[in-house]
Amino acid sequence: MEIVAFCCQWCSYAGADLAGTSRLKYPADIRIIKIPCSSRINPTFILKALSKGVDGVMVAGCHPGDCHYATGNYFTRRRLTILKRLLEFSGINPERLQLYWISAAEGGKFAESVRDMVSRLERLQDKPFPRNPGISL
Amino acid sequence: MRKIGVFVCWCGLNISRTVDIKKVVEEASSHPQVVCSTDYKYLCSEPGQKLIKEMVQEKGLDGYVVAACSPSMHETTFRELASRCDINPYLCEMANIREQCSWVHEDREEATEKAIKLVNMTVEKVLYNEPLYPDSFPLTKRVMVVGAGVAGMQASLDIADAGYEVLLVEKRPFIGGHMTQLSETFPTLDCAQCILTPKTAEVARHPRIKMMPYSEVEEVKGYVGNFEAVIRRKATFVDWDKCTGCAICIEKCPKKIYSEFECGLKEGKSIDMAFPQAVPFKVFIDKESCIFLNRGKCGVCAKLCPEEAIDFQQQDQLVKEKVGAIIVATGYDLIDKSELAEYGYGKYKDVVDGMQYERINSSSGPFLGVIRRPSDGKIPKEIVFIQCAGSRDKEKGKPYCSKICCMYTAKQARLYKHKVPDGQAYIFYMDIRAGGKGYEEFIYRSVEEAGILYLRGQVSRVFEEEGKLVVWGMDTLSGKKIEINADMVVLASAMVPANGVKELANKLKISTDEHGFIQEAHPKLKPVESMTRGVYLAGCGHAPKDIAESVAQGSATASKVLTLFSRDSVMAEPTVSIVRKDECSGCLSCEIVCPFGAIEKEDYRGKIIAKVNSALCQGCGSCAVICRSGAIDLRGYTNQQLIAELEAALWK
Amino acid sequence: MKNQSYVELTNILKQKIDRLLSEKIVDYMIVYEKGSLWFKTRPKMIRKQTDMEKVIWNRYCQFNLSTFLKSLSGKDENIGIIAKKCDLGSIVELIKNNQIKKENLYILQVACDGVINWQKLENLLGTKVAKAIEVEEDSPNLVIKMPERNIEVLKNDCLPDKCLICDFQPSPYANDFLTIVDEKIEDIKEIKSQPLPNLEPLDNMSYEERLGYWLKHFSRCMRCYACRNVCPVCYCSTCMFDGQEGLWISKESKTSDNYVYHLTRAFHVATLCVECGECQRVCPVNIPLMKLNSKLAKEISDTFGYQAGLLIDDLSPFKTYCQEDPDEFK
Repeated sequence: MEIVAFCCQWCSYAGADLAGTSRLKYPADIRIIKIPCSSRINPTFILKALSKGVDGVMVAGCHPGDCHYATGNYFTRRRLTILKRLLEFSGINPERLQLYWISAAEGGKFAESVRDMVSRLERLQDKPFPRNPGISL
Repeated sequence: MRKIGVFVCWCGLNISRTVDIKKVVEEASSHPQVVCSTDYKYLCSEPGQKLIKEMVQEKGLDGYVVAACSPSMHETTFRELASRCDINPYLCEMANIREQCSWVHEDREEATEKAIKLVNMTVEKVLYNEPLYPDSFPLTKRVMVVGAGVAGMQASLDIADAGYEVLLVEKRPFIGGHMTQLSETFPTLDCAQCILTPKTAEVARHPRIKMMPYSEVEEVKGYVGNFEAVIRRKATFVDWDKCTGCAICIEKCPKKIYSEFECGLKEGKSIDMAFPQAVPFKVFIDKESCIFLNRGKCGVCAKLCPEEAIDFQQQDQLVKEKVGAIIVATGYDLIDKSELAEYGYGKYKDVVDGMQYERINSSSGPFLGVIRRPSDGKIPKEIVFIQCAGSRDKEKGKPYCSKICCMYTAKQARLYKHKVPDGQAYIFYMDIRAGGKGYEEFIYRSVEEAGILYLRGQVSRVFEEEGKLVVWGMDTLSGKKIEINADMVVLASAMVPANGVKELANKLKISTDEHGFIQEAHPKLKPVESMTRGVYLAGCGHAPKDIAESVAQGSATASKVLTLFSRDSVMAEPTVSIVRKDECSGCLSCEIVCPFGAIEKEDYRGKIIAKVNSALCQGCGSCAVICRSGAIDLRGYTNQQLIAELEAALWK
Repeated sequence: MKNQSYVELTNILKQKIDRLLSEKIVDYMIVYEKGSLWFKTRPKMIRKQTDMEKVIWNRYCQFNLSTFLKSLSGKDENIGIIAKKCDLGSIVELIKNNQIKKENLYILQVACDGVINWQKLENLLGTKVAKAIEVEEDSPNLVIKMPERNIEVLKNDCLPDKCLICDFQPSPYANDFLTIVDEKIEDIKEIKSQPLPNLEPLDNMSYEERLGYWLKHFSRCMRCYACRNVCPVCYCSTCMFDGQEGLWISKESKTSDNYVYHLTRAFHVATLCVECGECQRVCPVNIPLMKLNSKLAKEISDTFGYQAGLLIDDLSPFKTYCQEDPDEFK
């Protein structure tokens, strides 16, 4: 499984750290990119990752209402809700993009979310974006 | 081409147990721009840092990656080291191979492979890192303290004593906060007034404290070092320069009203002073109830005032003040009556809350310190105290512990026993939480010496029968149902944030938690800082706490402010947004989404485009995403850096 | 509308423009002039009254002139523009996004009851439109006068999708609405009841079929960027795909990068796209781009109750939020 994760530094990245300090185990299929806030995620980052054939993109931010920057995650929620619909329409299973709300105190939830993401992706029947769709058909 | 160094930390066995360090070092060195790749047992140690420094000098590194623990742990350490090595600190990045790798994965091969990737991602990112330099801004060395309770007063005194001017804004017409209402205080049973009055007096006469009682914060603009606050000074309808506090007006005022200070146990007047020792020692008129202000008749006070201080024409005033820092010490209220209906609170006069009991017990209170019940003034012979009334109750939305109730209930029961030696006090409790200096001993003395009956269990109902308050409860230790025919019931009601805190928090752009208490920047390491730089918090507005803690927090915020004021300018984080002027289309979408109002307009070659006020920008990056063209980008997390990291993260 | 009605409207239009220019209400006008063939038109900017003769108005004025407004922001000239009802939407978006000031713009809305998509017409005829001499309306049909005979086709079959859902009414944002008395009012209602261009064929596909469908289309994309350049709401001074070249997608035209480009483009115009159809019309390899745009417009309307191009004071749902927004996340 190949999963790229974007974690906001205040909540979910700290949650991932807490999962570490608590020695919780989760699959090694995930690579985390630290960003200041989930609202820093440009939809094109996600499109780009998916177009390279990764199985899934995980986005994690502070719980709604708890954003370090007050409102960032509300924008993210709106954008990604629509982006999922667009992915679906373009033939990518929207399950491949997941957004989790994980606070700095939720090390357990972080580990659980990674496991959740992996198990969701394992259940999918369809394939991710082809690795080499070629120059032309 | 940039020369990058990679330093891999063993963290003793913490990383090396699961990650093949040697392999990570080898793989890193295969990157064309990595000119040095090495490892050490503890890179954060003195010799570890020395190793990095030597390598930087020997290899002429432009930047380096430390693969070790989480950046939240040691990023500052290694960035400061970079400064000492003459490298811009922002050319140092950390790869988190401990918390997010060695500690969460067991398979050595998988963990090693992931660590290699994480290092590579960070190397790719650092190749696009730019040297960043913090901006500095001027600083107004003046502080605004919101709330003149014991926490706010302590902060004000500390800062004023250190030589800076303090603006102390209080919504009530007097200072001192809830402590002015208390009788005696735990665990020493000293009189609240006796220990508080010297402080209120000191605040009042301090040359550098500008008291603004009966005032509220209307609006706050600006940023750390440069806030501009608009404060509403509510009309008191009394010229305080003339008022001597002689109280003739109070005596003669025909309009009786509910007294907030006496919690409704004694009536107040439309023109009143909250209590006889109030600071400032001035009267004020309650706008809602004053007969003259509502019907244009009466004016007895104006006729009798020997100083002619009554001024019915007075209006609210808006004053602008510049301050460099703000301390929020807004305090608490008690849970609303309607939430405690099962205890008959609000229905039966003799079911009172903790604050009402304090007034009953107070020698300046409605019964001059004799314990009498409100309904008929009789001395209660059986009294029931109920702890956790509303607190630790998920259904009431208050799952938290109000923290002080165990102690003050014990205190109140003991004071009862002092005054009514033949009476019986019962305390229903869930647990006893007495974690404080001398607290546990205090509880023990209450049980052993004072003969107070502690019953572990919750009260299901309180109802009136034949002039008695019947308390139904359960003793969970014996499993027996308990019924007490009491004369009076005292509820240790849950503390809630003071009314209006949410609105104030919005004005200050700080956040509140799910219960409305103000959110600290970090629960452990930044307990008195808010999320907004330059705004600090003290007292019960942050969470329930006792007097000693509130005072300590007040002093803590003062020390934070003094640290800020010890410099002549404020340094701002350089990881803020920046506009590439030529690419900006001027749609100003960024202005709309910025939560900090950091986007300003600029005329650039005849076109209005966006400009970032780097003092206000907190670096969230919302603007960089709403900007379709990427004309606005976030330093430290640029599109280029994130894409470099993303591409390196991809599986081949 | 009959050909005669167009002639009359053109005359009124010329008089109006003449007045706007002579009274210096506008510094110049963006208008349509005759194109290389009789059924083609092209944009023209006229500053002088002597150019007035070039102004035309007919059923071939399909494209959206507002795309020429997007490069003008910051210039302090007063501009007049001819707009159909459908073009008003993108003008509203440009005003909303500070690309042009309403006070600098004179919007001259001209009565329209549908423009001809000559590609559609050509498909119906099975021969080049260039071979025809003239088209006249005989409601509900169009009569195509060929050298040897006349062919009648249903007018609705020749209209672009946008006309099928247009009400053709005056816009509150138009400074003026030019119309003539015409017997066509009844037909307008009939046109409105046409079904929406639907997305169903794609909805019924599996993920793989759908991805295959799109990749087949995207593999033909040459990244000529015509879709972007013609789009009236692609107003960025520098497109992100041009700004830091090679940053977001590689320079070579890889299908996976084309996918990133096209989905990003659609996402970027979402909440602004008024479905004028220009992107798809100009695409040299006929990628069904409007499907992406319409899908997003529908999702945004369903989720946030927002429609682009309606009101100047509306805020794009991506620039605001509600605490109670739908939250399908965990």
